Amino acid sequence: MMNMLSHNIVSPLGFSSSENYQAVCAGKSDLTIYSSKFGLPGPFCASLMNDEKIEDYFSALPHTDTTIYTRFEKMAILSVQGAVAQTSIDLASPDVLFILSTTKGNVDLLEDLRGFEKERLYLWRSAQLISRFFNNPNEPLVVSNACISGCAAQIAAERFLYHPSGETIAEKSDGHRTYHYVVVVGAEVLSKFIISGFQSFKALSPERCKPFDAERCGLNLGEAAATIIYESTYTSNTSAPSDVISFHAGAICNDANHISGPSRTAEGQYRAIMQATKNLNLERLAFVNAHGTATLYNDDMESIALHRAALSHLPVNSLKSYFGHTLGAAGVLEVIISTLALQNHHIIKTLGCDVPGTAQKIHVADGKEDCSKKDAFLKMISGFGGGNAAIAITMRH
Amino acid sequence: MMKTYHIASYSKITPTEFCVNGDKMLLRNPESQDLWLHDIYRALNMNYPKFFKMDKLCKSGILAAEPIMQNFMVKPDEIKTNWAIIGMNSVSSLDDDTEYQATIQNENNYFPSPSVFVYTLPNIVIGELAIKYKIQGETSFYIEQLFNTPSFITNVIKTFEVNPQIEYALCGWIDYYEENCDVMMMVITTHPDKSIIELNETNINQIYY
Repeated sequence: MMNMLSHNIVSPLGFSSSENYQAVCAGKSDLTIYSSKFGLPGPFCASLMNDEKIEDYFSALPHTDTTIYTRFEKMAILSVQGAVAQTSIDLASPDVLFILSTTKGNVDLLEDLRGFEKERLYLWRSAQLISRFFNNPNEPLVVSNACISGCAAQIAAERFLYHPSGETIAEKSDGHRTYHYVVVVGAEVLSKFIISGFQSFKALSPERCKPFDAERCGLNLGEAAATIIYESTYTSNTSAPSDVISFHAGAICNDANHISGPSRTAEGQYRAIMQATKNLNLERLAFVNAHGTATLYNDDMESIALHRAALSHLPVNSLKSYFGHTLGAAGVLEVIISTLALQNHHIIKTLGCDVPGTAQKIHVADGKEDCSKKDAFLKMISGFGGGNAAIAITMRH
Repeated sequence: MMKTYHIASYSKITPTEFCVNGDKMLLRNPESQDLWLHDIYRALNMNYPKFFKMDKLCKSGILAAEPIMQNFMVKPDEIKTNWAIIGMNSVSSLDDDTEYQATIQNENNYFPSPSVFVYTLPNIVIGELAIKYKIQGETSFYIEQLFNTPSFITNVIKTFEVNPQIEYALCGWIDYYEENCDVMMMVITTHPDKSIIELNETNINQIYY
């Protein structure tokens, strides 16, 4: 069992979780049409971080040489710093493990290293620089599972936290240790590499995306870094915050169907939902925060998964029209925003969905639903490689 | 009672050798005109045309898995929900990333292709393995600087521990960059009757190093 100790989001909508949450509640989105950027031949609509703001915030950190970190690493460091600042834990302790979730890290350096060493193309190297910024002594883990990475990283985190039945084979046979805290940081920056690839797939919407809308026509990409610090329930000695947010369960299932398209039967997503909610009273669920990329096939697949899981009566939302698809950060960022919504008894409206139209009928959240008596939500996410994940988060007052 | 875990079969691909369960199946012929991976494909008598569309990371994963999955493919169409796949490496998909970058580097020669871009993710090899062997359980990909035996064992065992329905895992270190192939795959199971050796640090070290 693990609880959420603190979190942070660095995105174009703000540098803290609450700033981001308030922006979302106010219906703000930074999705912008860029006509010439990254040397791409055509326009695209994306949510991009302002470079000057990153520099301003980063240079305000103590003892930092702003030249030695890439933009990607700076965003991740700022987000971890934002999360740890709300706690009393020492990230330099051997009881803390870092897990980085990203799909492409510093891939923009492939075009031009800009003075950085070639090693910076390796995701583990970025992870090391991020964890060592905080003087953490442990070797960080990188989870790179395409779009489900952010949720997969949280699922992995629970496995590394101390558990009283922890005299497992793993620990006995190889001396592998568990940790009291895991810092899960998801981050993604955009570049010509990523945007041209999604353009070649004809997956991008020319304007702000419309998740679950009958006329949805593709996704938008976005930049962000998001961090959750989880602590083992069993070693918790921090004074409990007013609400205890628990990671109830998570599951990953593969479709074994197609490397770049969702399953027509939503097989993997359906089974991931069933596993993640197995020991949960479904009456507790306030809403489902879907992947909701606004591609035709993804949103249809999710509607089928919810229908098969008998959850299509629940309000469903997508945050992609606020942040774009933030790839490796998405699973972390969206769990944070959904957690804040749950704590505030609020179901976030799906911006851009005017007339819902999916393969199976679902209840797309309009922001007016009452969930004051509910204390859990379900997160779902899926991606290239056939992976699907589901996470159930619960709250105790 | 504490579960024990067993290695049912294992394989290795290095730049010069292809080994299955410790036996050398093929040595690289320096005279060969074709890719080393294609020579292995022919030696395995495989008939999987999709193989030739894949990037080299996926090709190496499929080739390493094929001989060790044979005993488990008695009913080839059977869906395996009791199987997981765990992949790890150091380079992510940098080999294919470099190939994709070449298609967008030059404005006058700009031809981004979805068939190259789709392989610019390390977990695609896991997706290809899931499709080929109809594995619908948990699939994960982790990245670390170097192959690390305790970390490998932990990732594998934790996958079994939290997923009680999982009886088998196809797992391995699948690294491919600039012709340097460093691949070790194995089938790990909770069934002692399928065991050739026990899963422990000594045995993994012996297989990998």
